[in-house]
Amino acid sequence: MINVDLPQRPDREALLAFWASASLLIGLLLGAAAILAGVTSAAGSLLLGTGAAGLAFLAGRSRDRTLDQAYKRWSKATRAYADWARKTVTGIWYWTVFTAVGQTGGGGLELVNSPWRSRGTLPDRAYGDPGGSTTGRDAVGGIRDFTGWAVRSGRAWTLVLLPMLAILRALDTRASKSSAPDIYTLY
Amino acid sequence: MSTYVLGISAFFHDSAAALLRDGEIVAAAQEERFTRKKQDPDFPARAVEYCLEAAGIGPEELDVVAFYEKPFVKFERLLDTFSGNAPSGFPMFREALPEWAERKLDLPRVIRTALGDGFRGRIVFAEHHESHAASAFFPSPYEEAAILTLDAVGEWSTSAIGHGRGSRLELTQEQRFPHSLGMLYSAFTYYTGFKVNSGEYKLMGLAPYGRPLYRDKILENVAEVGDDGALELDMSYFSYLEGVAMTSERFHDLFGGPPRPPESAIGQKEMDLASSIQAVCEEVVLQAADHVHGLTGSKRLVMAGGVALNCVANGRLLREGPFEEIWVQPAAGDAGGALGAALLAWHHMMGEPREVSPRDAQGGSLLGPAYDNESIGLFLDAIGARHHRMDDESELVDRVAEILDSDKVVGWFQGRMEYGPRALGARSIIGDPRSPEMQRTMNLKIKYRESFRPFAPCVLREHVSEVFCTEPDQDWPYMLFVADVQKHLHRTLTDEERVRMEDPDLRIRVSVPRSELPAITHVDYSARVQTVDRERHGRFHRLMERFHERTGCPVVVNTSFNIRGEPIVCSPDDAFRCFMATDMDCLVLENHVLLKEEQPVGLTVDADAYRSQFTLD
Repeated sequence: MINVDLPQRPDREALLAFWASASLLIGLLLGAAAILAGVTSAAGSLLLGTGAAGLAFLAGRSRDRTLDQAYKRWSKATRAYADWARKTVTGIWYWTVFTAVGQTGGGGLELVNSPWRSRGTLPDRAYGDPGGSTTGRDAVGGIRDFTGWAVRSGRAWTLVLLPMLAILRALDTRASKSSAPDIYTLY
Repeated sequence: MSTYVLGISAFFHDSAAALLRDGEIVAAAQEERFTRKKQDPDFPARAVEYCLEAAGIGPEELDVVAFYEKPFVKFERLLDTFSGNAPSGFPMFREALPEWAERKLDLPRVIRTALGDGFRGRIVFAEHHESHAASAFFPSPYEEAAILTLDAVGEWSTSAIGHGRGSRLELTQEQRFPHSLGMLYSAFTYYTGFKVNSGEYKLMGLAPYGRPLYRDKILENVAEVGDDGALELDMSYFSYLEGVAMTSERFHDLFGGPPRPPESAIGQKEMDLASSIQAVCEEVVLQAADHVHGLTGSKRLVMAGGVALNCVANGRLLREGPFEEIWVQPAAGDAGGALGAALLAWHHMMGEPREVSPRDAQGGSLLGPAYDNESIGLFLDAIGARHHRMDDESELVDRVAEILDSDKVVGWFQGRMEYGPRALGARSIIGDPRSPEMQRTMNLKIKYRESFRPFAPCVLREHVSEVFCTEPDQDWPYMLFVADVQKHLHRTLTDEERVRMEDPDLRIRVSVPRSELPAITHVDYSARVQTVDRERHGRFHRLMERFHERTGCPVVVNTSFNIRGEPIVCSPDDAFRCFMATDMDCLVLENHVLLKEEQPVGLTVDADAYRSQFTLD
């Protein structure tokens, strides 16, 4: 998985971290290419790679403006990639899983008759659970909570969402999220 | 050794934190005040930091962290909405799922990461409407009361009713999504061109200009209301389930056209729509209150949830409803859920008893940070601001009363910041309500906003019934009820003024003085009253007393210390920047008095640049 980090305002530290990573990647690729091409030995390629990474890093450090522009391009590209990936991933799951569940009559809302319904108050032992369980268990976090909730709530079909949720979590796109002004956010 | 419970509301609207020490509210604040992002929904890291600092503890001393809702139950509602609306619900699905994947489905990790390695306490999850109910009942001054919560939506519930006694509350009935009074009101907010989830109070302020011409149309087509306040919406008039907009084409056809574009001219149609939906809202609230009264037989009611901020409905409920007393949680929206969750954990989960405070346990809702005179002085010196330190309080209130009496506008920054959406005299802009120009000046030169709404009055509690139609000594410290200005203060309009009252431009209408206190009197002679008393409000009360002695007027205009779209100021730094970017004449930061005319030119803040930082609400 690629963890895409999208800082809004790159500061000096972020720029240097970015360029250090980029320099290391340049060195690694150059060293690997040298070995594959049979140009040098393993020790030589290590030296070549390290040297190239070091030079790249120093060259970048001495030209802040170029570094800044490179960073912005990289940031823009990763943002675009993350947005595209998010739409693709959510699209695939939505058009397959949710459309299928909707078509088969699963899920859905009760849109008619909304008188006052009887309800109970949460039992004192039920506060530990992030779902509706009243068994007295505490949240343990992550997949185990999700799985437990899916099974207990009779929504086992939602387990097929786990791969999508894992991918979306890796594609950290919150920095590019904007809220719609025309609608009450339901989520 | 004390027990600490931290309540958190986050990741929906207006995140906040609240801290209890042995059941007593130590601190509470909204994250927006620190991050300067209006209704910031992010994890309330800064608010938590403040709460811990206020108690003088670190995360390792927290025993329980209570989150204000059950995330997986809410997720169920979302999944059912998505599948029920497939394939048309993709826009909302695409926006919602990343947020859930990244944070909301793994809140224990998010909370533990935010609090750091030191935190070893338990994390628990209350229910959204139970959090609202707890925020209303437990701090209230009542040993026993009926409970009514009304908002847009939590997990599944959109409203709930129940009963509280001692340290226990029980919700016995609820209405469920998508049938929601809050969503209905927000749909009209959207349709009349205001921003959803922040413009609802504008719609309420617009209502007195209109006539409820569309009331029957709403009740016959869009929403069916039972005798018990049960609400059933015809979802073909709405499109919020698909996540595109609030209202559908069918809604637009019914009400004669598309929604008003934001910031465009407001017409009579919008005023009549506002009046109509406000009338429907009041009827639903009254009927629901009757219903809960019938079930509980209680003489007292407590309320919370976003709809409970509708102070016009609250005022009518108190006048016409079955309850003798009503207490509304001042942070009635989602921010208040943080306090409710913490109180539920304390009283229900931990089984701790409750001691009823005769005045209420909310402490005037002054639960945020305060700043001492020394740090303010150092700050002002560091930036080169000219200020007069006045440690003699009598001299200070005398000077400020004199400034107010000369039609000047004062930024008043005193004590602990308010918890909740209203400025209650700690982070307020104040002025003389007798001035015919005050409303216009405050609206256009300071708040930078539309001027069709009058400002709220602060009145000395001991004089409240002389000015407003209330009980003598009425205790309304949270600006949550509307009452009429007393008849003897009404003005008789001249013929020319009557003509102006028919002008399509609301700014013309609102400029017609309706009473001897024109800045706070709405066109229907109503006002959103806050009483100020000696015990809760300290120096603010003494200032108002001095103003009263000087002028004979026990009222000042009070509006939140911010400009349009900006969160209310939190720190002296925020207050100073807002002061310098607007036409405020004077700023009082605790004992430091600053006059605009004395400030160095170099400190002037460009108003346009300042305004551009904030998104219009």
